[in-house]
Amino acid sequence: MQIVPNEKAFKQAEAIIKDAIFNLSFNKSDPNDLKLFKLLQARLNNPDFEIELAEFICGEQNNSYPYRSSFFLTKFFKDLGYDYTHTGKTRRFWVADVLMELSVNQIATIIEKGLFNKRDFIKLSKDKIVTSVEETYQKAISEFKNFIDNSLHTESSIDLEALLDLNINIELLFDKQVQTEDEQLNKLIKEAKERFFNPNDKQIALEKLWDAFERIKTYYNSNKRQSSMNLINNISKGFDADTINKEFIELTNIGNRFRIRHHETDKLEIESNKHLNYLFFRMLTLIDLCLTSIKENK
Amino acid sequence: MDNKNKIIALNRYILTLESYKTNLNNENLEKFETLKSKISSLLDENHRLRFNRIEFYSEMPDYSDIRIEDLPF
Repeated sequence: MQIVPNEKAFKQAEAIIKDAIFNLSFNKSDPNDLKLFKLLQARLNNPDFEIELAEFICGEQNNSYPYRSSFFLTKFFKDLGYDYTHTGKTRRFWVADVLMELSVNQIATIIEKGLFNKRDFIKLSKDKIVTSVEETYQKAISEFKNFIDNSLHTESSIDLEALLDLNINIELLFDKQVQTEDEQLNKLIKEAKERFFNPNDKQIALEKLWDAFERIKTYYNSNKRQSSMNLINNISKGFDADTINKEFIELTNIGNRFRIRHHETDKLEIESNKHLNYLFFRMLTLIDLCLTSIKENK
Repeated sequence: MDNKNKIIALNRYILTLESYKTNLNNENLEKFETLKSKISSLLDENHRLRFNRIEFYSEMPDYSDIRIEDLPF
């Protein structure tokens, strides 16, 4: 038998390895890396990622992107520095094949500099008469966001959008292992962090974290008041006990006023993600401070 | 292997892989399969799945050594 190498397959392999290298080396505090990480997660979660992105690039009938004929598809890639020439294969399958050969870094450039190139929307828009170019452009952005959201949530439901929007302390969320002597406390914090990644579970994540806060108050003994004071004194060494005490009281009050610890009808609902995120990280930061102090005072 | 060494190894394997792109044949096929396994073992689950699905080559019957008496006509 004669072996015939498939050149495209080798290029695909190279792209996969480059993506894997990025995954191993990306900097969690670099917004650009986080953006690529999100795109890579979308790519890995969605088996149809390339074909769906290809449909945007081709400007198929069911989307708001400019229609690109064979000539304009070749030009699209050439303008971005890629030497691919469309040769008559069904357009979206051809584009999907090209995308398979590109790393996530290259795909990000194609999206930013090619797919959302406004000049193409002006020149090639499908229905300029009915809708303005600006409206079409905004619709296209919204379609793209849906595509990424659907890709991310198809399998694993990781809400990286919140991470990108919030500039939160990622280390706090990802890297810190909670290892106190209280197994129940460790479990509550771990579950809260895991649930936070699922956009549908953020409320529960917040409740778990507040449960952890109540639990940590009794870390030193079952008398909550006495144990809390111990904890506050430990945390406050070299700092201001009054500030920490006020933070304990304020977060306890928030837990009681809003629907976090209690679910009576008079409790205030937290309706938006941004407020859930705010309270989650405010509490997580305090708990992290408690855990660090507990560890130091062992 | 830690991440730093994985990255070094994967970068090296990209170059090795490149050398097979036009030069893969019966003689080096075994070595190539070993290379694939080495790469695969360094990838995380999602990338490994994608990598393992790739068909790097096809096998075609080799007509160069067909004898005239084997022909059906």
